[in-house]
Amino acid sequence: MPKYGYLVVEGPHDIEFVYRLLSPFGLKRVRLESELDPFFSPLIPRQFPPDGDLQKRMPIPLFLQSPTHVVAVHSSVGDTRLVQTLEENKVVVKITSFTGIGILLDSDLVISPADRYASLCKQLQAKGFTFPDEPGVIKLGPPRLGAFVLPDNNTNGTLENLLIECASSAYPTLLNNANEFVSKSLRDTTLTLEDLRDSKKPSGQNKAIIGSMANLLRPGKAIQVSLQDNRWLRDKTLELPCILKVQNFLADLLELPKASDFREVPS
Amino acid sequence: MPKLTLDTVTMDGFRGLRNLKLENLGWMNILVGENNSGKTSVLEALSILCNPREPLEWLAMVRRRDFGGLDETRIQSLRWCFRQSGELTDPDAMLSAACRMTCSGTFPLLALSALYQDILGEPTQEELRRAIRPPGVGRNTLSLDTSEQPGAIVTHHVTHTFPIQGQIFQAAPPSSPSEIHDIRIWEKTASSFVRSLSSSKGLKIKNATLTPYSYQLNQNQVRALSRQVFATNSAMNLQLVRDFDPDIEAVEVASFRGERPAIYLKHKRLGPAPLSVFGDALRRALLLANTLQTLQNGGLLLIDEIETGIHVSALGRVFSWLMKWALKLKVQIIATTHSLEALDAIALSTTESPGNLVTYHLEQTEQETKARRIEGELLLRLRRERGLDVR
Repeated sequence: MPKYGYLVVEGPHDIEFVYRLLSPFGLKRVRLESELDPFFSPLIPRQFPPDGDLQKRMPIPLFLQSPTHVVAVHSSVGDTRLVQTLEENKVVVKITSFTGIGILLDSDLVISPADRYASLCKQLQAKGFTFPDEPGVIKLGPPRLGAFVLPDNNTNGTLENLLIECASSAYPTLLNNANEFVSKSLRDTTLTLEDLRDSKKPSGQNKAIIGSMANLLRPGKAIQVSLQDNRWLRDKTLELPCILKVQNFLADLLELPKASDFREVPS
Repeated sequence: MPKLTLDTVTMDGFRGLRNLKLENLGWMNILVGENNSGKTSVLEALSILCNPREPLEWLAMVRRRDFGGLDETRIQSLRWCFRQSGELTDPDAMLSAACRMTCSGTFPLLALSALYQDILGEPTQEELRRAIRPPGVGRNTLSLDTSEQPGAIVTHHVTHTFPIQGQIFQAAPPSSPSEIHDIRIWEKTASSFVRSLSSSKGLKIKNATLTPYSYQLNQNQVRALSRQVFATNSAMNLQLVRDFDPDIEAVEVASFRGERPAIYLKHKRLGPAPLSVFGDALRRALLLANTLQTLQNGGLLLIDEIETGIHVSALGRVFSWLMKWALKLKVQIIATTHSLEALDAIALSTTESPGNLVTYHLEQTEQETKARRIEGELLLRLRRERGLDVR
């Protein structure tokens, strides 16, 4: 029987990020329901539209599978929804069958990682999930429980901080150009406050830089497509200490074998 | 909200149920789970628990389950209500078995242990006298067989809280010593027609069980309407029925040609018409309306396969109506379903007060019958936001 894992993250970019970090362990994207381990069948939505909203994306996790592991990566936005997602899963799947359940979240630039995590822990506790007192630490299971607050459990920031580190290694010139373009644009007086509303948010500038680069690399495609296809998280960038820290956390949480045992297969 | 008649119940040894606990029941409770997970068994056990001083309730209960007469005899039907019967391979072995239920809530029953014992013997004159003959069977016919024959004794051991008026207990209230109520049933003595001797006064929940076929039977419809007529306010009944279909002007029992009486509805468009010409949803609603009223103020309505006969497009209307009146009349409902559409309609009918709805997912394991409790608000999220199948 394979080991089962469940990760809740905060958006489609995080899903792709996690996939890139787990890919070296032989975990591959599952596209066909018939190929998915039946343990996860109860987590497949059977009703459209979700919440009666015709425009809403179906809340289905990304399933990753290898001969030894099956991992579901689910996107939930906001602490309340994140906690609710775990609570809901408990109804349809046996929680103790999981080897590891983890959460990946941002601390943004306003709330410190410690504060956000403490608040989240309280809410999780109320639903019967006792996570460790500190992010980055894993509580033994089953299921093993742990959360990682991006970028490094200490510094304020988001996934984009890590992606910028990766870009400085994989695409240094493009990063400089994007940086210059975004900085210049933020000072552009022909743009209104409304035009720049999102870019002026605490992590807006980083998001704009990553978005600009991704659009150059995969024009007209979503950022996650670029994360999937391009060199953001491949080879030498996976050896950056900040990336290794997240990857080691996931490997430990999900009891993954050593990454060196696998040769990465491009998806 | 007033306190519930049943707040928590436990069951062990009844059919396949093992150490089952249904905690924190709501006003509307839905049981889901695979076939043979024990959903119908829970309803059956509850019908026994509602009337703990009346062991004869077992016969009514097995008649409902084995409506088509699949079992060899009623004694056989009874035997199989006890899980120990499955351990017997010798058909001549004498079974001695037990099941136990406990409950909390406003109903003062604490525990009911039911013991079943196979016997071989002769019915007494008193037992023969109590046997009610089926239609067409005279006093001297052989259906009341006095020869030695197989039979069974069902014994109830009942403990309940002392009903001390006006006293508020700080700790658990004192319990009664165990009461014993029993009945002997004989295989060849028209055992389906034994008259009760017990008095269930003071320790009974008004209850009714609606099976998937109940609303199709003239006898059930007429009986439910008649009970309602004699027990409650007829104006209220019409209000309830018209709330479901405003075109109904009256509900009456009548006989068109002096034959068997049947239910007729006075309908704005159709005029007086027998219930049989109306759709299943209305038939179901009428039986529910009559039954709900006879159970008002603390009764328990048990519905097996709540979706039966109701088209998917009518589920929302039926369940919103049912929920509204169950709360108004203070009737607690426990129902089973296999239908996701029904579950969705029920969940939607409680959107404004999701706390009134509790769903239990039953699952049989080697050791126990697990009940996963899903609160109304959580069910709504699971179904509406995640689209997950909770059955």
